[in-house]
Amino acid sequence: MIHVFATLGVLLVLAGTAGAQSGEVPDGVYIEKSGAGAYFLTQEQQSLYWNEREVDSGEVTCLEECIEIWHPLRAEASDQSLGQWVVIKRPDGILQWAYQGKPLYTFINDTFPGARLGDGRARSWNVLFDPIDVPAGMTIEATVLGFVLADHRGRTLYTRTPSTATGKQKALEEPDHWTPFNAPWLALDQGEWSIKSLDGVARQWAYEGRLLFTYKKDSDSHDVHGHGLDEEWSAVILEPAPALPSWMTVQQIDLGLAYANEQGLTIYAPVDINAIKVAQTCPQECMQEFWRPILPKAGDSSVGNWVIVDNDNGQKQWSYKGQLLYTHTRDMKPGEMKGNGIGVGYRIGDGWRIIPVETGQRRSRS
Amino acid sequence: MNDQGDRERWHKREMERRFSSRPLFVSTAALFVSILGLPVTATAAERNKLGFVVESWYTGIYDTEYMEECPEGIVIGNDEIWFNGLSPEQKDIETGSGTLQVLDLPRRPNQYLRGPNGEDVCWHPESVIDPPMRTITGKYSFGLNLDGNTDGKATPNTCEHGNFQTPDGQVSGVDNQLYRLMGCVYGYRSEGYLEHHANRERQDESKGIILIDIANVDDTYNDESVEVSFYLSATSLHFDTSGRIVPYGSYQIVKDRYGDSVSGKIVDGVLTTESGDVVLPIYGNDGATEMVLRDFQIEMEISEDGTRAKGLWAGYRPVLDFWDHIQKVQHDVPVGQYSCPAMYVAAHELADGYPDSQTGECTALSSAFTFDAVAGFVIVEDVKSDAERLAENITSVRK
Repeated sequence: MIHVFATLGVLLVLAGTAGAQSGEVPDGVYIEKSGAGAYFLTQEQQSLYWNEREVDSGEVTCLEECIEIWHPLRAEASDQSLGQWVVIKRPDGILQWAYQGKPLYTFINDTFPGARLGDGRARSWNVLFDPIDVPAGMTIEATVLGFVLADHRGRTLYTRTPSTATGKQKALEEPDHWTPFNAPWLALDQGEWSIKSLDGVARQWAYEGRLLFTYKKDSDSHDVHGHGLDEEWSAVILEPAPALPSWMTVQQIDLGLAYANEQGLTIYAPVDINAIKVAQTCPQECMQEFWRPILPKAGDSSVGNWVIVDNDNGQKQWSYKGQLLYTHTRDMKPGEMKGNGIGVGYRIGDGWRIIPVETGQRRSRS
Repeated sequence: MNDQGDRERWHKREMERRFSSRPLFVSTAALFVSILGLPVTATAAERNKLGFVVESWYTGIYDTEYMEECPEGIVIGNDEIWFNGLSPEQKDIETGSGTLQVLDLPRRPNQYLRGPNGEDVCWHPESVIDPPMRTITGKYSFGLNLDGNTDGKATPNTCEHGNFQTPDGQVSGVDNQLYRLMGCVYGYRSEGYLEHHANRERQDESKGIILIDIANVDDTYNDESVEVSFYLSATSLHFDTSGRIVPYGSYQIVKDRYGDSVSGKIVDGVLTTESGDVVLPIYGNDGATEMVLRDFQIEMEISEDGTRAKGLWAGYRPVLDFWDHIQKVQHDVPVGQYSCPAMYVAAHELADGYPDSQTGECTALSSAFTFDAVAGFVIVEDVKSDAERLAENITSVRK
């Protein structure tokens, strides 16, 4: 039996008994398919997570206080392991589902359906994600634009929308910038991926019929410098990055790209508001002098990790990954970031911080 | 080529090579711009310009091996002041019976929370009174004579203060109250850690990179009128395989940020400027702030082959601006060994510039910063940077 229903614009497939991209799943686990792969949700539409340190050490270490925040995905005594889904017994005696050797959890702060607020927490928590199969020699990379198709080194792959010349011809005219992404001799067509041979010698990969190239200015994985060049080149975006609120802009500030409001003024969030309160590094008068809460306008609604919440004053206020958002009163024009670091306290990186545009992390099966 | 005559001849040849033989200069510029994949504009290539990327910069601290300039010794650190105020029982608890060092928890945060209501003293520097900060009493300092006098007496624009001589004895009346304030702080001295680490971070992360753009250059060795502007780089540093910055790399500026200019001249290969207000980016030790300098001047000697430069910039740094930075790098306190409350008091006491119109108290510290730079092409033309294009792409793809 397969139930299909739309929530938050995402297609959810109840796959309790049906095979899906990621195979069979236990009862109460659902697959949320995206262009780049599949996410996994509980019946309450809470995202599932795993912890890198647990996987690296091979031991369950999220115990006691930790499981008050990260709730183990519990299994019943009657549950049987199912393919790559295995029931494990934790040191505290709780039965827990693990997928591909990863004990699974939900995050207490995921308070709305499909939220992934725990992704990247403590540099060890990752949302459970199963990428689509791509041909050998290709990978999927997370970038500021979303999940993109990449070569084996993680360099973004691009297609060109032909205008006056084909992508191949144009690329040959600009050999310094664009490199055809060639296929090995033994490679075969696979799904949306095909192999073309324009000159009868070299075999070049194509995606949905369009030739694939790398861009030489992309020096690191996650780079997408070629996207939008000449209004013709596009990264192969398998899944766009989470949407942004309509009023939000992205600005270049001294620390790179960061989120800003509609006037281009930098947005901030306190990393640990409790630490700020305890050390009184920005007491009430500091709050009133320096910080203006970002309040939603009529018609605004939560988008992805950008959520409208109630603040301590009973007002609605925008938040990002659970942290309330503010602008700083001394920032007068786009690019300024005079609020960054206020109330830092003893801990590096604490206090009010800009919100950098995330470059994302690689999603892989391993 | 130490002889002055040789040097002049070399610069004459270099000038001829760069400017008389314009196609070479143009093509070189075009090559580097082309590598970046940027359109080459006629103005970019034809304007007679010199450019430099600042490789490293330091607060101008003149320190000697036996610390004659700090006869009272190194500044007392925050941890020491806090620790001395504890009872033996508290010391035992806070140090885990002697096993916890200054950077360990909970000793590290607790040393700050010593205000009368447990508040952090770096954000409430007037909540406690610490022992006075030990400051420089030496005679020599790097820097410039910013106020024009040599006796240190108050003027309409300055408060009475002590003057220095340059270490070579050539210049008297040097104003550098920031050095007087910071010169005995362990972390800021040459054997300290903070500024070396900040420079390493700037290079490693290519953040806070200052670009110097010298325009209207007709003669690289002697030119009576040039325009000097300061920018933040939008381009990562170009290194060779040994980790050194490659001369003549191309650097795009971050538009609509920084960009203050001062007029200057080049005499015998040394650039000096008139004074003007300049804001520079600061990055390092996890702090990203701004350095405001009133009456900014720069003195920079360009190497004989034109590939490097070194010198200092100086000016009056508002105490509020300085303090904003100190607070935001609060985690430097135990590493650098100083006390926020003592430094806050001393900074106000030592301020020697820009008297407040109401109180007459000075609000800015004369200061100097030494730097090294590498020649580069500074691209100030209105070319869309990678970051700008990416910002547009993000908003178009994600909405």
